[in-house]
Amino acid sequence: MQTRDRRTTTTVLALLLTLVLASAAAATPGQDAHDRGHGQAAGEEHPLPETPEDAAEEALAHAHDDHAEGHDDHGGGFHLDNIYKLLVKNLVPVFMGDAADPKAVKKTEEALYAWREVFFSFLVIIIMAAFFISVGRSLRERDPTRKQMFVETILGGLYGMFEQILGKDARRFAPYLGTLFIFILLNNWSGLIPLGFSSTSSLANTTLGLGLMTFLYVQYTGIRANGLGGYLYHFAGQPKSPVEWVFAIIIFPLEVVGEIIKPISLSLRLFGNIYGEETLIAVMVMLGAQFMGFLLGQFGDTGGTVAGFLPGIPFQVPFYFLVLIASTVQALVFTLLSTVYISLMLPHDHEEEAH
Amino acid sequence: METNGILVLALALAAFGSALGLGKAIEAAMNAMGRQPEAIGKIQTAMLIGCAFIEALAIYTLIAVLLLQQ
Repeated sequence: MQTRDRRTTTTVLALLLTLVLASAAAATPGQDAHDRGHGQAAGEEHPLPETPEDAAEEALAHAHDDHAEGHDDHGGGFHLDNIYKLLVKNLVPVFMGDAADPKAVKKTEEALYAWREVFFSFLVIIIMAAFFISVGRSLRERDPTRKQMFVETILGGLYGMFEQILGKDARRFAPYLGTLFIFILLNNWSGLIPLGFSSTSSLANTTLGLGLMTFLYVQYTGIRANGLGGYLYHFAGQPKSPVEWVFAIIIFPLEVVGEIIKPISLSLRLFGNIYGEETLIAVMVMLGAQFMGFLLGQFGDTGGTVAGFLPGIPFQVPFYFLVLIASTVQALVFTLLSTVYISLMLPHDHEEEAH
Repeated sequence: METNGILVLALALAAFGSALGLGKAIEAAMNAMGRQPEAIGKIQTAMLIGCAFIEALAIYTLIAVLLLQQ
């Protein structure tokens, strides 16, 4: 037991060290005053300093301004390089051959890079499916394996949470909601791995999809639980007296609009939070690189002996822990709100008090 | 450049209001939890949902800033 404990501690420390070094290597060396001036001179197009191109080729991965390369679809902001981008950058020229037009190569790269959220989502799906299928195949009632106990802990906690909101109906909806939670959580966390990317940090491709899926599922649940008439009656505010029927004419469009707003606000919330976190970490990486450049300049080490293996001070590490917690909370919020929307559609006493 | 400054100010204002709201909500939830430790699970769930709605306002501002920024 004692040796295992020591080994675990060593492993964790080694992992942490690797993380620090890898994220430091992800920073771009050579962010000096000249580059900042250049960024400001071209301030109309990119508000933040841009990475010099030669350093970009040397670094394994580097912080840079996506907007400058026309990949950015929300206007401005930092992104760190990810493994898909490197794959596209290195493989497309090989497959297109030397004879291809550089403009066409660039266009193909951009078209392929637009699929990055899909790529990373599928990566997460494959990891999730492989893990859970392997656990599901070795389920044991007696003497469960460690993996099984781990999964049981997570699923038990999630199920308890759904049960508080949905009551006995939780059993029917737990598979969808639990999968939603684990998928969003893993997607959020995958942005913290060096060369990783959070597919939930884009609005249109992942979060809006998740929001729409929840919306459709909620409507389907409502129609199935209440029947089409009961479903529309619910939207009219459940009128009983003639006065309430008159008011129902006003309430009905309001309820419909409120229902349509729900998935949009769900996906906007998730996107905004995760995008903000990613930008925070990218900005901290850049800051660390700039500060390291400043320090090296002060000590006269312009040759880059130190910068070779530690290009930046890892300012972003304390924020990793913040982002770990915040990502979990966001995944939880998305799932809990979906649960609440489902519980509002189901015919029980929750309905009246929640309006 | 001036537009960006105004946008940052707008974001700061939104964060200020959102922080006030979150502080109030969490204060009340903490009080309730201290008074009734057996209801912690229910209070936490409700608090998280409320916090999400309050926080969403700041996030909308962030998205507007991202869209408008030059």
